[in-house]
This record gives sequence, C-alpha cells and structure tokens, in this order.
Amino acid sequence: MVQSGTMENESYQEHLKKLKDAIEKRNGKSVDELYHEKQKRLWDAIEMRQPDKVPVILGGTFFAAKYAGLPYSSAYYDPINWKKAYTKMIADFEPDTWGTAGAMSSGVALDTLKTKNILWPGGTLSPDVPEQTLDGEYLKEDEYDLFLEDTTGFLLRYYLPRIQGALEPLAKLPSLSDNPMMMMMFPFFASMLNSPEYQEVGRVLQKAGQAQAEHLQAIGNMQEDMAYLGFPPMSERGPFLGPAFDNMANAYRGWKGIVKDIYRRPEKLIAALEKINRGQLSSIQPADTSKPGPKLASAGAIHRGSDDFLSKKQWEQFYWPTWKKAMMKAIESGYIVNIFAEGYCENRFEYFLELPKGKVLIRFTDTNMFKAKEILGDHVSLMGSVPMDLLQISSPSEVDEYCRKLIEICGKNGGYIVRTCTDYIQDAKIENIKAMMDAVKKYGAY
Amino acid sequence: MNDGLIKAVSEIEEDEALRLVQKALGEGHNPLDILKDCQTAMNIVGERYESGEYFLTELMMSGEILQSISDILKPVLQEQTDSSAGDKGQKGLIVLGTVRGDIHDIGKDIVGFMLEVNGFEVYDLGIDVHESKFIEAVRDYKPQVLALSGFLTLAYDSMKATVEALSKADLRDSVKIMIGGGSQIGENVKNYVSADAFGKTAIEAVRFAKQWITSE
Repeated sequence: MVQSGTMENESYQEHLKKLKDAIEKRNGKSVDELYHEKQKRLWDAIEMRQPDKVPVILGGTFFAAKYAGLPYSSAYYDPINWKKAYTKMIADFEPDTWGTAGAMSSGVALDTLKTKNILWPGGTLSPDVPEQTLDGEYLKEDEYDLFLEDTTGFLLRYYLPRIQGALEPLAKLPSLSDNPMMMMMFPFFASMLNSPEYQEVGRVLQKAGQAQAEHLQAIGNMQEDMAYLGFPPMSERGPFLGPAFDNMANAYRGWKGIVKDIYRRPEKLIAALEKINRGQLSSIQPADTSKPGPKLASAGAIHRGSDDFLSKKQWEQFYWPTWKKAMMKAIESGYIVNIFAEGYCENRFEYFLELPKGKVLIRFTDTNMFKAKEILGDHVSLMGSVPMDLLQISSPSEVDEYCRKLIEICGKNGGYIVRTCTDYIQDAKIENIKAMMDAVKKYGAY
Repeated sequence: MNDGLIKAVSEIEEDEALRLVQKALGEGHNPLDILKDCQTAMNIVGERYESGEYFLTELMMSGEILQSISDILKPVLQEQTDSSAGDKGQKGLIVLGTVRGDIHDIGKDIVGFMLEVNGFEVYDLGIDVHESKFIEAVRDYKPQVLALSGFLTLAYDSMKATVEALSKADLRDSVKIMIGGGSQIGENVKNYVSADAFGKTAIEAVRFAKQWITSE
C-alpha cells in the first residue's frame, strides 16, 4: 500500500495510519465498508440513479496546504509534507472522493527549465500565490502551415524554446524533416550538438528530469493512499479529451491570437483544430468493461467556449464539432464523459442535450444550477456548484442555507453531486468549507 | 458621417473597413472625422455586446480593427491624437490595474480599451499591482475613478487591502472605485471590498465612469 524505506516514508505511513484509525473510530465502520458505501453512492449519482445520500467531492491543492499551515509552494517543493496535508484535509472533512490534488510538477524541474508560460508559488511567484498561466501567442499567426505540416518540428524548434527558457538553443536546430540526409548520416547531426550550449541543454534536461522523477516518487500513488483511508476514486482514469479549441487557445495562440484567427484565418484554425481532434480520436481505447462501475473520460474544461466568449455561430463553427466528435467516440467506446463547464454556460445547454442521455456528467461553475437541473436534469448528471464568494465572504449559516437549497432542488431524484465551483478554494474560510460538508451530512439523505 | 465605414467596423468587416479608411483619406477627408465614425461604430458594438448579440470575440476584434485604423491615421494625424479616439482624455482620468497577486489581463485590457474609446484617459498600471502603486498613482494623477480588476479569488482580499490603504492615505474620498473581473464579483464582493460599484462587463465600466465623471 504505502511505500516504506526512507524515514520520511515511514513517518508518512504512520501519519496515514493515524488518519485511518481516526476515521474508523469516528464512523464506527472499517475503511473498507466506508470505501464501498462511498463508491456506490458516487456510481449511483454518476449513472443518474438516486443514491442513499447526495455525494460530495472536495479538492484543493492549495487549500490543503493552507489547512495544514504550509505555504502553497509546498505542493512544488515539499511533496511529502504537502501530501500529508492533503490526506489530512480529506480525512478530516470526509468527502466521498477527492478532487484536484495537483502537485504534479516539481518546482526544481520548473526552475531548472526556466519555465515561462506558467508562474508557480515559490518559483516565479511568492510562496502564497497560486499557480497561474500566462496567455500568449506561443504559435505566431504565420506559423500555422508549419504547425500543420511539421508539428513535431514546430514543437521542438519553436514552441519549447519559447516556453522553456533553458531550451532556447533548440531554436537553432535545423529542420529535420527538410534534411533526410542528416538522419541518414547521423554522426554529422550529432556533431552539431557538440557545442557548450547543447551540452548545457543536455545537463538541464537531465537535472529537470531527475527532479521531476523524484517529485513523482515522493507523491507516490495517491489513489492507493486514499483507498487505504476509505476513499474510492471517482472512476479509473480514462482518456483526456479537452476541447480542441481550448487546446489551441491555451497552449498555442492565446485568447487574443485565436480571436484574430477566427476572423482572419478561419480555415487554418479549423485545420489545426481537426488535427488536434484526430490525435484525440486515435487515443481513445475501449473502456475496460471487466471492471464494475462507470468509466469516466475527462472531456476537459470549457474555457473560451463559455457564453461570454463565443457566439453560438462561432461555437458551432469552431468549438463544438471537434469536441462533440471526441466525446461521441468516447461514449461509443464505453465511457461517460465528464465535462467541467467553467464560466456561464446556459447558452450551451441545447448542445449538451445532443449527447446521449445518461452518458454525461457536467460540473458547472457560474451557471445557475437550478436552471441546469430543470433543463438538463433528466438527461445528464450534475455536479457543483457552491460559489466562491459565498465560501470566502459569507457566514457558515449562509453557506448552510445555500447548500440546503442546492441539495433539495438539484439533488431531487439523484444524479447530483455537491462540489465547490472550483477546486481553487484556498481563499475560502475553513469554517465555510466545514459548513458545506456538514450541510451535506445534514440534508443529503434521500 | 461615413455610413459605410460605421457599418464595416460595427459588423467586424476588417478588410472593408480598412479599404474605406484608405478611400476616405484619398478623398481628403479629415482623419478626426474618420475616428469619430469609428467611435460611433464602437458604440454600436458596445450596445450589441450588452444586448447579447455580440460576444467577447466581436468586442476584441473591433479593437483590433480600430488599432489597424489608428495605425493608418497616425502619420496623417501626427501628434494631434494617439492610439485610439479623437477626444481622448477630455472626459476624465481613470487609473486601472489588476490587483496584487493576480496576473490576469484580458478583462482589464478590454475595460481600458472601451474607456479610451469613450474619451477617457486611462493610466493602466498593469498586472499584479501592489496597493502602494495604486496609492502613488491616485496621488500623482488625481484620477476621478479607480478601476480594480481581478480574476482569482485572492483578488477580493487584494482589492479590500487597496481600498483600506487608500483610506489610510486619506485618498478614499478623492476617487470613485469600481471593481470587476472574476465572474463571482458581485454585490457580496463589492460590499466586502468597500468599492462603489461592481461591473460584469466593460460596458458597465464605461457607464459608471460616465455617470461619475460626466454625469451623462
């Protein structure tokens, strides 16, 4: 279950043991019993049945740190203490499963690579400011043809040098696809790398790779640790099928860039979206039906596709076709698609209804949940959305009242999971998170 | 008034808009009149955005078109005006920035742009702006309005700290304060921060500025 060996791991193991004992004592049940109760509750809700109680999910990479009195940077630089904090948060609040536990990058690796597109606590941000991403045109408007014809070349010679400061020398590499002879006569190519700057690139990659491997090893297998404490995963991990439009906007063109593309080069933008989509379609393997329970495929988050950003016409032209294709293939392959609809998404309800009934789980952020229940409730299962302004500013009694209403209306007939509007809940008052969890216990039984 | 140009800009037809600007210049029209038509077009864009006919894409692309038109007109106008509208700064001063700890700028930039198009002078302090920078700017520029932007939830506290710092520096009563950014910024956050108003869109920011400064 938990790796042992070093002193640190032994003390982590002891920490888990204490948490487990406390959970069993508090509930008067074994963690195995709790695991199966929670699992059934979640599966029922995901598959639109009425469980014994409304399930609730809690996540929060940085909230966990705050809860344990650690800086946010611990998630990047102090993984063992951070995972102690995270497991303690879950054990204390006892949701049905855990949400975002996102300490997946080593701060040392990011430092070593001189990463530019992400700012992170303890590195390029102060230790108590959460991670943020810099929106930018990392693919220039005149580079679409290169991206379409030689994606690997673009990524290696243009993209990486732009987002990883330490990899800038890669920008000077010759185009490999234009020089087949160079691959045939490989020693000549190798000789080009015999310069101090490429030796430095090699050293950086080795150091960053080692730091990341150590980080991941320290984090270990969170799913196993959670199972040990009686918390099942929402589902086994399925394919990731985030909207191609947001892939393009977030990773390559930035919001400003993609707006210009919509008007100035729509054909190229669509060609790029279709290329990303082809990659997604080929990545979908059939769900493993030998195991029980629903299989979730992550359909990613709606970022630039929410009501404010795109008109229906633009959504229909650029956003929905490739995304729908990816989700349909996942559904046909045995998955339920899990959508995180950020922002306001009421204008997208009619499109969600195009997906097969019972095969979709949607988490909303700002969308009116009551309206979502009314219009979508017979077709998809719903998750969300306790607002952050309530959790941050209001009182526990106001949180209690809001959650009561959510459970009463959205929880009707099942197919509903309570969750905060985002897992970036580090600015919430701890007593308000407690009030939310208590409200689910108080009002959640069917 | 050049109806064709107004239509082209307000319907986000970039090529046609630029062609009509070149044509008008060739025919000897005053560049300031051309800018005035652009402003009329931008008001139409704003109205359509507010009524739900247009979205952020149209708002941003109209800004791109206006930028291209300004680039054509600049050499002709020489130093009479700069990047946006003809009567920039005549209506009043606004200090704008994304508050401490937050680096989001899409919303802030749209607000700044729409305020400029509507004739306000905007001092944009950028992103991750510390309270002391806002105080300095309010003291030095004496704006009528301070516009605080933020997307992350930590922005609520940074906004609150900024307003408190202004009070301590005896500057709170010298400015009206509006806040906006994250979709959950509403009445609750406005009261928490002790701001004068919150806006969900850039158009609302323009409306507050007009109300407070020019009583339009």
